[in-house]
Amino acid sequence: MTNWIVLPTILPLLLGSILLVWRTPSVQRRWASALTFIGLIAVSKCLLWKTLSEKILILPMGGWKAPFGIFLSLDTLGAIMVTLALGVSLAALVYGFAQQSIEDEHPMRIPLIFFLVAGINLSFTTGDFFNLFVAFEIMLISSYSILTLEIKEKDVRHALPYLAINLIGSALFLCAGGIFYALFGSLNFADIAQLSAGYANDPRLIVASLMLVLIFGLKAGFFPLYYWMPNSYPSLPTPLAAIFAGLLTKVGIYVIIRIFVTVLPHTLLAPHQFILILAVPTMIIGILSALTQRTIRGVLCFNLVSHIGFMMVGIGILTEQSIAASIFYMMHHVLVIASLFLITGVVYRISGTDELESGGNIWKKAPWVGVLFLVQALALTGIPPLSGFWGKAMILQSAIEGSHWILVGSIVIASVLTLLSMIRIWFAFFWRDNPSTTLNLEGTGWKWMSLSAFALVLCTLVIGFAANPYIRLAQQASSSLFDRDLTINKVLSSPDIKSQSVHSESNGGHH
Amino acid sequence: MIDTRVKSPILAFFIRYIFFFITIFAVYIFLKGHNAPGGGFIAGIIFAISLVILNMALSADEMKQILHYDPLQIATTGLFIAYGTAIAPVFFGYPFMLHKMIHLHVPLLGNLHVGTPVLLDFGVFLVVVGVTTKMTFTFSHSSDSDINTLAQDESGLSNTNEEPVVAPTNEQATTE
Repeated sequence: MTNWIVLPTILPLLLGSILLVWRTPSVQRRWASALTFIGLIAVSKCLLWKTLSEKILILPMGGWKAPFGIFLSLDTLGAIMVTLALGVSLAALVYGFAQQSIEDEHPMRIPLIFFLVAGINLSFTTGDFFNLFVAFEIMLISSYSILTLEIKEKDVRHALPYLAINLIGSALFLCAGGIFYALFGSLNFADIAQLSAGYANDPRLIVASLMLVLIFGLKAGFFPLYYWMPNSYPSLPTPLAAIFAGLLTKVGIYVIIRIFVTVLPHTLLAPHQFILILAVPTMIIGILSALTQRTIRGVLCFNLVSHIGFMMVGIGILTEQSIAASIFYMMHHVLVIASLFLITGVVYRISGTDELESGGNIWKKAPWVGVLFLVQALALTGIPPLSGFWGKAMILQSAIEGSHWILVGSIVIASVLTLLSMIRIWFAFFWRDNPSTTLNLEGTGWKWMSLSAFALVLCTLVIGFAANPYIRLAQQASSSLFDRDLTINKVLSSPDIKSQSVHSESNGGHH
Repeated sequence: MIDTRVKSPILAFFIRYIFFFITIFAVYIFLKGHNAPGGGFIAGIIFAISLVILNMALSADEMKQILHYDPLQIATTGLFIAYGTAIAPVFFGYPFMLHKMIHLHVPLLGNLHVGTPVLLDFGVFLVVVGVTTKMTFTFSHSSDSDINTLAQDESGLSNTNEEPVVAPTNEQATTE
């Protein structure tokens, strides 16, 4: 049973490799990839269900005993993220099928999505610092390829900042790993958690932890480091942009939660204060930039940056309640931002543009697309009873309890401005009559596209209207993150399966 | 098509012999792995270097004859070998990636410790060789303006409405 947690990583890798051989795009190839995702979602649901009773599932790879071997470990937060990652990828994949005919499909697109998902899932299931680095590399190398795969030649320069900044990030990541190894002589999360308790005031650990904020802030898009994101994401095809926007930034947030809540001592205050200080400009400058954008995708990218700030608030405050708030907000945000990107693709398909100046008329001709957009825009803003409201309410509550009044003010301002930026899109593309815009409603492709966007919209509606079980899920995930002794005990006392196998081998008479 | 390959007859003569030395060294490094520095990855890089050097002296057609398989095929074969050895223990109820060592006593050679990690390493070796040669060969075909070979390289890997990127030939470069 323990082997199950490797499945969300190994199966995408395996299928990606099979599709490298089975190169010609065809209907069967599309079915095979979609069915794999559906199967994986079922597996991840089972894993999530299992983590609720067992708190943490571990797999000692190769049977090596902790802390020497490499461990995979999955707790509730990891299982939630794996499920979300697979769900969003499935929606984007199906959306891509509807958007492109088989003749136009790039043969490398689906394999690369699988490799990307494998990297993402590995970073959610890893219990080891170096393996996390490997997961990030799998993810990043696939993302570099995806970014430049179907790009127009003149847009290749937009991929350069992404590549450059992530290479710097990877190098720093390796350096931070080196510092950790030098300090603790171990890279296993549980082992570091046990050893680091006395190091809270050690300047070396403070420097290393600030480096980690920098590295994962780079991936997540913290305030001064988000520069690459709004440049590179809009040049992607919409389904891939949805995966990037929905998942890649959240991997950064996830790792920050993982490391600062379960690995490093909570008395280490510098990184949390640093995150709180960065959260304010991330929220405010992000959303102000969104208001100046002229394309839908630009507005959405900066909204993404701004809303990363909300999750940072929860992480920075660091109470069980605030981490639960961040986790719930992350669940909501993955679905909302991915589906908004997908809806943008539908809008682009029927009106032939995503410039705010030249859009219009959609509400009259295709009201359902308008409804989808409106629901998600209001959910993103946080209008009750949609999903964003609960997340923001929880984050606000923990900010008020900690009397962080500047944060409370910025959260409210950023939310109001989010509404404003969404209204700009709504007015420009859906509501107003623009005689110079003609809509192209021929074909059924865009209907299927909106249907797969609708699947994600439905998920956010469920999270919004039946919020209670999901809030409880987030709280449970957060409380198992705070239960550090359980994790440490479970990982470090795992049986040494290797010695058993050597024993049976000597009985078998191989000598 | 212009020939940008090395024209030195001395290099062309010696490369064929250097190739064997590098390859033997690669095999040595490969077998040395597991308990000492070495193993599939670095041996793969070394072997790929020998192929890249060979590619400097020989033409694209000759290289294709020598390699016999498409580099990408080599890489995917390696991937599946590696996956197979990693997943196999799962079916026997052991943890993922468990390895098994066999200790043999062979006359003349002494004690041999052979295990499944060799298979995994061999998979890694093939992946590294395949990917490295694929990249360098494609670049070299591109800088040779060898559009036919390049089209073959990219067949199945690029969109049908994409065109292979080649360096401008001398005549084009002068007219532009």
